[in-house]
Amino acid sequence: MKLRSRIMIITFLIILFVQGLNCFLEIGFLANNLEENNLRRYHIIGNQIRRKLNISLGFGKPLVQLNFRRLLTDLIPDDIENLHVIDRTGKVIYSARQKEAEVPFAMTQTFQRVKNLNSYHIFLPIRGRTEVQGNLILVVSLKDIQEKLLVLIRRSFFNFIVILGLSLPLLYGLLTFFINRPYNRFLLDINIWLVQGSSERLRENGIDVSPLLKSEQQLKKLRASARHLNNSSALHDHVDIPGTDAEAKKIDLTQQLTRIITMN
Amino acid sequence: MRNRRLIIIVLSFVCLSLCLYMVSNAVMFKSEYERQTQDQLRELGRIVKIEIEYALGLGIPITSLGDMDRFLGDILKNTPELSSIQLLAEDRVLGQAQNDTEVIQHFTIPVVAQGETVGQIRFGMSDELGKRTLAMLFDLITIVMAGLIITYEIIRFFSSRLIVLPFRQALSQINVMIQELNPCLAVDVPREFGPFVDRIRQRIIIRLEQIHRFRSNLDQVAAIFLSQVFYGRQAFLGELKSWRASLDDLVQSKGHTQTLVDPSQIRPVVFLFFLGANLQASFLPLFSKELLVTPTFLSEIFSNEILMGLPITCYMFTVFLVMLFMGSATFKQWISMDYAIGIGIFFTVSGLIMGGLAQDIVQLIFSRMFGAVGFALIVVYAKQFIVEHTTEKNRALHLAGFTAAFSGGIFCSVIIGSILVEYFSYRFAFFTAAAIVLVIYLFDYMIFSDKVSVTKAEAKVPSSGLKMFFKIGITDLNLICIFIHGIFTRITFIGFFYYSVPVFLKPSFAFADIGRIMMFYSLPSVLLGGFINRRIKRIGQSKASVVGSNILVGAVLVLFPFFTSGPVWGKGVFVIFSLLVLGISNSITFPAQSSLLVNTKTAQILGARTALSVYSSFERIGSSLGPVFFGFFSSCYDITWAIVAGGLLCIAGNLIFLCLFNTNASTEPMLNVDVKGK
Repeated sequence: MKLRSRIMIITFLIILFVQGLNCFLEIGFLANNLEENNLRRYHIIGNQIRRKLNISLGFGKPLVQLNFRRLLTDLIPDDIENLHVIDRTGKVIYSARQKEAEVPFAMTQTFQRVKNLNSYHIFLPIRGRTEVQGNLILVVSLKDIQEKLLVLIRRSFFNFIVILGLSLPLLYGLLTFFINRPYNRFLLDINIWLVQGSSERLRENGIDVSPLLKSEQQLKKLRASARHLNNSSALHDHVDIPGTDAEAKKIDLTQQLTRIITMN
Repeated sequence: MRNRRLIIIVLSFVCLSLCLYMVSNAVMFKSEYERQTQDQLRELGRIVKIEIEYALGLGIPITSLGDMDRFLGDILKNTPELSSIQLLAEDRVLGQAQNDTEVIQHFTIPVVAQGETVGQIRFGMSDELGKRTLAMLFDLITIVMAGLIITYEIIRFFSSRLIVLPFRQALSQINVMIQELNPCLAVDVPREFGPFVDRIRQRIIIRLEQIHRFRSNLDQVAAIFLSQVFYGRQAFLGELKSWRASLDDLVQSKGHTQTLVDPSQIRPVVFLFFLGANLQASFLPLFSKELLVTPTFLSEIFSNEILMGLPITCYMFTVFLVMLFMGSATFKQWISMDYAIGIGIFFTVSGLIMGGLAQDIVQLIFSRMFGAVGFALIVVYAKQFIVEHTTEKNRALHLAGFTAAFSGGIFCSVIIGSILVEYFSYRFAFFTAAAIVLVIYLFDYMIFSDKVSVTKAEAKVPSSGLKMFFKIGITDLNLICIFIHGIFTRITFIGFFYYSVPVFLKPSFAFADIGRIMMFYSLPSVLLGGFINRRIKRIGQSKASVVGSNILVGAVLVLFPFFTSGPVWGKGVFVIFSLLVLGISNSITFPAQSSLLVNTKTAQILGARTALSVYSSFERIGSSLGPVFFGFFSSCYDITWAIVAGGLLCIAGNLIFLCLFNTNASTEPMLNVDVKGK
């Protein structure tokens, strides 16, 4: 595969991965924060209701004898799924909506929030004069909260797609301009330098063609030496060819050798 | 081709687009926050109004309503979004409650009795929304930073592996092809080099043909000469022979090219490992607490508080033992270091899956101990890989890369781990961590596909083990100095960072803010580690930088009481400053210590592996002593003076190190010492 294709593919894949991960983390983080903030509303309402019940209990009336309908009807918000009051044993003594509790409750001494499959249960302890006498439980629909969040998540995801869609061509341009163009230029240049025989420029860019040139010179040198030796006294003076016409044979041999050596 | 330009482009681009996305999210969610907060306060106003109007409905005049201050105070106490509440009638304040926060906005609700407006409730909104938005923005910035760190680690690996190394490899192959006049080489160069390589190859083929033809001509000449000349041919044939030899030299081929190895290839392994294996770090004690509901035999022996800490203690103890064992000859005989990552991943993933499935504390402890085996194997292997593929000049730089990857991994793991737990569950985070660690196999495969081994140096001394290490090490003053210095450094680091900072900040800051402040520690090693360590090339420089940076940390800790006695913000700023100094110091110290260690006499004789393994395990002693040391001084005096004591210990330890560590002894060649240390 071409290097520039690799650069493009790798960079785009990495960007997609990182942006996707970031989108997931940011949406997760913000949705979580908003969910918390959403639940704070019920926490505030629950605290006011609890305060009212605590004051009533402060007069010494037992929890089971309170007139919850009179005390709470106006205070309970419409968007709440249900509101229960339980005693110390966990028995439901009042429910705002005529619905059975999905799960049995256990009384807690402190504020607690439990996430179930479809709802949040917010437990607020109701305190008498001395001790906790029961719990106020607000049942908040998880579906309602998530529906509200889903709108925001969609918008955030849409923003993500828009940013990605607009920025990827920009990245393509940047990579083409700052990586691929210089790289293509480099490839073009090394070809030109090779044709021109600019070994210095090639060496500056990490390609050493000097062995090729050296071998050429070496070959030339050897040919020259061969020719020289062929014509030199080494052949004529020190070589002894048997027979009567030694000199003629020597000339013939020299010519033959010269032809062979100079043959390309 | 250099990867720096590509990394800069990608990081700038990712930074820009992530910031853009962050801003768009922040704006959108801030307006939603605002809407929700106003909705909450309106709902609260409605309830208060109903209660007051109920009393008014009984015929009580608004001016006669009693105990209103307490009533409004109760409401205010549970509503941090409010700064004040007032009940007003004809501009007279009938009751009010307020706290010490600043009012940024007012809104009023009319109070109606018998169809007439008789007064109003005035709510003063506090800057709680602004504070929350700021905190949200900070957290979003940390998410963006995590994204940038992840991008950096990935792009660095892939640009090096798939772009820079093939490019350099291609140039190297072309050079070897030319050098050896071998047209069969350079076959797997990138395609775009094709025309250039073909041209070179063509020239080489022509040159080879010329050489072969000339050689055959010489052979022919020699044959003719041999057949026709009988006396005096020796000199001529000798000359021909030498020419033929020089022609043969021109085409002599070794037939292979050098494989380039980038030591920083190990970085994503370290990064992903710490990212995955530490994903549970932010919630492990809470998860342990949940598991304590199921009674085990340990419940009868230990209290719940001890049991909550037991998984971490057992983890550290196992790491200590396994690292020590990794230095032994038995371990070397049985397990090749080339498989260390594979085995390490197996143990870590098994540990994480077991952790995710754990139903009681005993199972969790076992899962953590499994994970510890993987931790020990991978950490020692990664350090050894770097040491084996670096020279003295670039060792500190690449070891700093290890520290940066380690810090980056932990930084990201805290952020991702906390989000996963909030959004999903503890168990899901464990399984995600296992999946992240499994990705390391991919990198491990890529590194091993190059047939890169770390065991080449160890082959020299196959029988070197712990016994021999301690036997030689006890006479090696430099080694002892580094070991003691390592323990001192760890005491200061763990004691200050994990123990003192949270305890010191707790009275004035919320846990979430403490976490945000502590994140500043990782930044210097991630951002500046490479830059600083690039300049440390010699042993003497390593020693000087370690001592200098640690004395600076000591000085900062000693000055703690003077700079933290002022306002809360001043306290926070100085803690951030000290964490940044500690981060810079550790990004110098940890790589330099390893660098000094492999240059000791003992490490040179026995190889780096035993030294690194034993040193890493001894570091754990310092890690466990840190909280004990700071805790002791904290109980005797207070946490501020415990920090001062830590600073003094740090300075003293480094001055001793400065006096005793001999840089010349480390670099002397060990020509007269054999494997047995004689």
